Amino acid sequence: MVPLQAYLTLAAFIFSCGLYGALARRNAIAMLMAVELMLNAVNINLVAFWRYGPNREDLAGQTFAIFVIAVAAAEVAVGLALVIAIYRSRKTVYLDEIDLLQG
Amino acid sequence: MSVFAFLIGTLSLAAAIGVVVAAKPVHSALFLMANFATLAILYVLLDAQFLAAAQVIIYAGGIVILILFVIMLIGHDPADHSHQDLTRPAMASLVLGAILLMSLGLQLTGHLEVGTDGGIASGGSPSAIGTELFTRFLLPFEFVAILLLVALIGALIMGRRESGEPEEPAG
Amino acid sequence: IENHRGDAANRGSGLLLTLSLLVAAGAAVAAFAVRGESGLMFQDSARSDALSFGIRLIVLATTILVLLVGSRYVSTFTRYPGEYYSLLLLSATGMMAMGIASDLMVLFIALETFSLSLILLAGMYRHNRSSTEASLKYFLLGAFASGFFVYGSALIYGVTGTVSFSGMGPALQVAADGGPGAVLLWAGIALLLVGFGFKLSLVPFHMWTPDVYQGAPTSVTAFMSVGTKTAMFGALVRIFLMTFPYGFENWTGPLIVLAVLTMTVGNVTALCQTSIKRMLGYSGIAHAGYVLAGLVPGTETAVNSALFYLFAYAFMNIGAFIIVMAIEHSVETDVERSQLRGTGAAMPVLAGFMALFLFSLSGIPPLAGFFGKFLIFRSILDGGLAWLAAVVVVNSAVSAYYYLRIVVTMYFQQRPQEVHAPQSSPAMQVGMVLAGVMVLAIGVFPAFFMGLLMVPGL
Repeated sequence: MVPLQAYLTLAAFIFSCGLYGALARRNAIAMLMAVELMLNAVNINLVAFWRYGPNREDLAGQTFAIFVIAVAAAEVAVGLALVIAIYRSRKTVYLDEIDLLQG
Repeated sequence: MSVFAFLIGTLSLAAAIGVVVAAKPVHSALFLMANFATLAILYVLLDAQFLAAAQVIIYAGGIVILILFVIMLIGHDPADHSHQDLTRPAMASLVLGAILLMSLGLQLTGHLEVGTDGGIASGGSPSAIGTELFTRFLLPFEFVAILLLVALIGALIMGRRESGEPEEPAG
Repeated sequence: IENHRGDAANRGSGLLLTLSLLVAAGAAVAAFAVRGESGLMFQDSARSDALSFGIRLIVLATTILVLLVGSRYVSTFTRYPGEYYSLLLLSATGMMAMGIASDLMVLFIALETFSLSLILLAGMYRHNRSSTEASLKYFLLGAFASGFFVYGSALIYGVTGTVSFSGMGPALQVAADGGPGAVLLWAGIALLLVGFGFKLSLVPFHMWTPDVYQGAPTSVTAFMSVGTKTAMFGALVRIFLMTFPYGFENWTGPLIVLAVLTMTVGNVTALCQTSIKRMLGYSGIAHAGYVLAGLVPGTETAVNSALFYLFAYAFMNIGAFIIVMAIEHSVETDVERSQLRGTGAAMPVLAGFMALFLFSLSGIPPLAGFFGKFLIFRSILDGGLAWLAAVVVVNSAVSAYYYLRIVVTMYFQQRPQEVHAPQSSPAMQVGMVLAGVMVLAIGVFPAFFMGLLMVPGL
């Protein structure tokens, strides 16, 4: 029987990978993918908590996971549109080269 | 059964690490696809069949393809080895991940009254989720519609070429 | 409507403006109509009560003021005003939805809705590179914030087994008392706070704010600075003070540190800014610190003081931004302090209103800002944190310096170069006058507005 802790650990690991990717990668698209990883880690948590939760008839966990998928899709659509807009005007997707505004 | 689950878990973790470490964006996109596929298998193991299907269709089928389109559109992508120099925030995130892991994974030995694992849960089927979506969770369902409308408008106005912009750059 | 080209587009955007104003005003009338009943709706997904009414009122006031800025300003940065107005109204919907959210799902989706629309609004000035870049920067940090936020909500769902706030109480009580899942609950709350920190630009997470405020078109900056704070503080009160059994009790330490850091760093960095928009951005961070300090005691007076302060902040902050919009040249979306020299003589009306807003922002007595700060002091002193009130006083003094420094530049320094006429449309003047009148009205009749925003028992 796979314990609940295994899924939580996996989710924590994947979330940290996403966090690292979002912080360390210079390429805007790689950062977008890292954000997708973070939201996926959330989905693992939600489904695991639903499955190991006390009452499996109450589908709140799964429904929340579906909404997170919908939100992630919306976010990627906007993110990619922004990346294209920036690429078109500045010919680069590397974040440190884009930095016009000082900190 | 649990050996299989652990195998799938490590596979998805390896794919996640691949996404972050891969030099060329195309490689990370393919690792991302692998990660989504393995997670879909995990959801089937957790009796969430509809979610596994949604994951494969929307994530692996839609989002990764969209990302690949944009990578192709951007064209040249010199391998960026930026992650060699582990910047300060990157270290912070690893530490935070470790804390998350420690607090969630190992320490919680039997903290929640865990439901019985046996028996096939009927919850995963589309009809069960469908009724939930339209009865108990109607309001979030409507607000997701508004959110998708915003994303639609956004993708349109950002993707549209403004009048003053140069013609589509070659290559 | 705005699809046909030529001058009809301008008439089109005028029509669009009136339509959006009608929508916002209609929503405000509906808000007052529904103010009476309170309770749960949509199977515990939404709750309409005094707190949600307060947030609805502030968001609608902000939307009407920003819409009033008018079609001429919008047409300087985009040829498609239709999307601008629709995104502005959709973002207001998201903020109000956050006010009524009574479960984790609606809260997260509302947060995403208004964040995405603000990101797109910030990037609408396509010809200006800093606008698209500010939008990408806001996007990346917004995605970050929602990642933490939803991870925290997943953990809280794990501990309590339910998503709806009304059903969460007992399970939270058990976990908060050290029962099973205490560690999970602690980690969930910490992650939620990180998400709140990013959106409210509290200090350790505030790095993105000034760049985005400076890059985005000024009307979007005004809307963003007020709307995000109102929605997020509403959600903070809803989650921590109305759902969690112990409210801020075991979190007062970190919250006080956050508030003090936010105030001080916000004020100190605002001191050395030459661009007005960046200065207003940093001062916005400081105001978020004041409101957080007011909320720390977690009592009923604390919530009332926070709501009142946000209501007053909306008018004075947007008023100041309207003047910046009037003064900035069409090509540049930023105004340096040096450009304001001598406006006292050149444009007396504008300078007069700017002085009024700056006095109110720095908390000079007869105006709204003073009374907002007074309520925050009272709430902090009731909470027994005298030293925190002292920190707020010192910070207000520092903020008074950099606000009044602009008044000095406007009135007492000569105007070197030629004077270019301010490009303010009639609608913008109406907005300016409305904001000025409200700032005076709140200062002079605070009791009326306190009653309006009163949140009875927690």
